[in-house]
Amino acid sequence: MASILKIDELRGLTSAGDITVTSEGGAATQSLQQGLVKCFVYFDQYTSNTVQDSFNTSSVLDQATGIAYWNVTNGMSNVYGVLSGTTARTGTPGISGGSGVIMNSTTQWHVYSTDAGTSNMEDAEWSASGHGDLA
Amino acid sequence: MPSQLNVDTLVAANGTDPVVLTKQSAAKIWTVFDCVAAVTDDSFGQSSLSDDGTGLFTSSFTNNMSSVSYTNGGSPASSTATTVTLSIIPNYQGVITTSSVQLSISYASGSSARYDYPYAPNVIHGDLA
Repeated sequence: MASILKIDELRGLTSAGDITVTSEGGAATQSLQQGLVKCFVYFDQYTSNTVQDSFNTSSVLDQATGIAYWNVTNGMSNVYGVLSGTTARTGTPGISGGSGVIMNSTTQWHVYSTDAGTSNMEDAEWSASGHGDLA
Repeated sequence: MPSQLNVDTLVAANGTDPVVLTKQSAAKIWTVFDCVAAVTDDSFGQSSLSDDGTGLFTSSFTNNMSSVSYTNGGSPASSTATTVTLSIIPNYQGVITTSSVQLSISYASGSSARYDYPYAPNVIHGDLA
């Protein structure tokens, strides 16, 4: 018989930020917290500079054409967060960072979107998620 | 009244199977590495990183995936605030294995040449073995 535990908050007993879960195939265990996405956002930088949906996001700032600063509420533990994202605009296939970084600080991601044909910065509707460790 | 459960390990009711995260899934592996210095800046579930050439790196996993049908994704950063489109993708289908993946970091436009970017992230979703 399946069992369901209904609670509002899970916390590690030995270490508050560390709960171990079993892999789908049962061959391994690993941290639950480290696998969870820490922030995501869908930002329309093309028409309205509007955040359409988000998690752990305080704001997104349109800095210039094809450049945005994505601010998160709860900061990461370092500036080496893992950014993954794409755009919804034909010809602007992806997002990236610049100057060797993707985070200006532990609470701010630096997002570029570029037209693949002209190699110019180009505004687009883009979505992104951030993995890594929270502070 | 809010409830809080303090536990070290979560498993299914039979004591062995994985617990179900309702309508959610956690990432199994993530990494961010510096192609220039050939070092991993931060990672989870990655056992090692090898430099296979310019813009070509193999990320090996601590725990195996259950199949090769898992997702890879990441958005690199160039060395300057430049106007290029970048990509990080598996090099080709055959290098995707259950224990590692070879990643190609390159321009997504123009020459599409591989390049050693200082910020190369990848995140993997799917099922572990």
